[in-house]
Amino acid sequence: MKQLSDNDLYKMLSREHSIREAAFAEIYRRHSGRIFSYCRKTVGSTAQADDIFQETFLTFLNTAGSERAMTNLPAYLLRIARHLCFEQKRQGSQSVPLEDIDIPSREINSLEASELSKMINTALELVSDEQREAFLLQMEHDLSYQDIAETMEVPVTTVRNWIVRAKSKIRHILSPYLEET
Amino acid sequence: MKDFEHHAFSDLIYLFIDGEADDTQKSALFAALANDTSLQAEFQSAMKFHTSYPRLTSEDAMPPAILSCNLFEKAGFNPALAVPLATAVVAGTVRSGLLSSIGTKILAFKSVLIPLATALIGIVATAGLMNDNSQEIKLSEAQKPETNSAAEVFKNSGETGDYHFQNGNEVNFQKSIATPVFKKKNKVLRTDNDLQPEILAENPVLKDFSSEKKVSENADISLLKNSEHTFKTSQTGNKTIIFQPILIIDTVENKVEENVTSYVIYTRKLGTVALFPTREPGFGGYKFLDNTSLGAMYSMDENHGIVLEAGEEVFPVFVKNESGEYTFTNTLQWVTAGYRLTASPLTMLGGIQPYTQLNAGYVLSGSGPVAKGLAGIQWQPFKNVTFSGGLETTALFYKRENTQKVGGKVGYFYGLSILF
Repeated sequence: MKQLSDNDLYKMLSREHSIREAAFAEIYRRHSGRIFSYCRKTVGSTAQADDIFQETFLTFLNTAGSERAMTNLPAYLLRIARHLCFEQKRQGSQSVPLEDIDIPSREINSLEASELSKMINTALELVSDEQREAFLLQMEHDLSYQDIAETMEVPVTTVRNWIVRAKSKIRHILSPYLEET
Repeated sequence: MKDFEHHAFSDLIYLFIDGEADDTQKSALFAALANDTSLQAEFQSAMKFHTSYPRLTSEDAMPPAILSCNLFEKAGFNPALAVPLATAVVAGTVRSGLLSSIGTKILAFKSVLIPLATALIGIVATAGLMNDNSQEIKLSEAQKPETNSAAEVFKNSGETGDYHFQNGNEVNFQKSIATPVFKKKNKVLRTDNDLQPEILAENPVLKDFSSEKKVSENADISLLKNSEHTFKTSQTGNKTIIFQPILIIDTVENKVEENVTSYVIYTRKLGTVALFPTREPGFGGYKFLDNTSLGAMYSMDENHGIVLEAGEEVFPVFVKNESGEYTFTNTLQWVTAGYRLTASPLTMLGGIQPYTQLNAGYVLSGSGPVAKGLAGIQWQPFKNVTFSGGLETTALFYKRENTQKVGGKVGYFYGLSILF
């Protein structure tokens, strides 16, 4: 199962229950961490993020099985999660600004990386919400500009501009510290 | 024009590093890099940032095992398939159906426990505040009133108000004596039903209180011959005073004044539980004075005080300086003024006093205004020393691109106070 591609696994979701179950478990193993991280960061509230996280995979499961080819499953999952997060923000007054998001701690061994991580988290507060989201999707979710554009539903040129602006600003802020390391 | 070109090449650096530059853009970038040293430095810096960035791996943010199990159950799948995704310890818990159920219940119960704990704290604090007006006075054997005459007075009088008899001989007064309220300069302020010295001296009824059949509603029960009363004296705890009809006022003033506390200096050590937006405190290492505050309080009376406090604490933030550059600041130095409300000692908890404090002030490093809210308890094991501890929340106001933002911090503190 681990050797199968995302697309193969996606197709298996339309098969009988046992195969569907195994395929879903493998997809979940591969991508749940990133989706969980995205929900926590975007929604802020732990309980709401957990609900949206579950809803993302249930929605994905319910819409699976069509004949369409799945070229980029992580981006597809992120798109579902993003829609649900924004829907939550529109409906509930308890949503929090993106700058108040909960950024999960990471397992970082080196002291330098740990310190840099802290500074980046703080510096991210200084860029706009769109720039930050595009930056995080690119840097942490390894999405291409095209995938980010599809996920955020904006032109690629806009994504490129956001990411370049965000990186330029964050790097500029951190440059004294980067030079020291 | 040159600036524009440099700016465009800067953008190309990021496109190249992200693998988004096409061949034409790559060629243009390489040509520019060959002749532009500042662009080369920028390229190196961008590359360093890119390679240093601690990327999130899938394992870094795995959802909790119980959440995964619930999801698999909702999807109609075997929850055990979600178990290998969790950590070994948690997996051991959720693998069993019973334990999984218990774990879920504990998580659900968490939402009830927190309000319950909050309510309990509120009850204790309220009890402490109310304790101020419910002191109980018991007379020693030698100080008991003449049972028959006094008993009749109190039993039959509809005007005796709050005091009453218990077990025939033992007198148990409640709310019968107004607690003195201390004002500035340590003077005793008497309440309406308290009596002035001259009234005591000149009023024969009050002088011979125990022989009277009727007691005025305004009469103070403390005038009972050889009665005993416990006063609260600011933060120094209780003071027992023996009352005699003629000497009562002098006794009160002498005994009370020596125990009034007006000035307190204190120091607190601050700890961090969480920062909002989430960031990790402690970058750059701790200095000796980090997370320490020094304050002084002037007690207006036993419950109310004005505080002035200064401190330095870890609060990572970027501060914009006059030239528009952002500087990373790990610790903030602040000065605040505030108000403290202290409840009376809780006798059932060994004299512990709950208190709450609100501070507002300014960050000296220029971030902006800062506000603090404290809720804690203090304990006075010695005459002039108090230990304290509790929870503290901090709100830091700062500007980001002309938008006012608020950063928050939840922490704890423990401290030492010296009373004068």
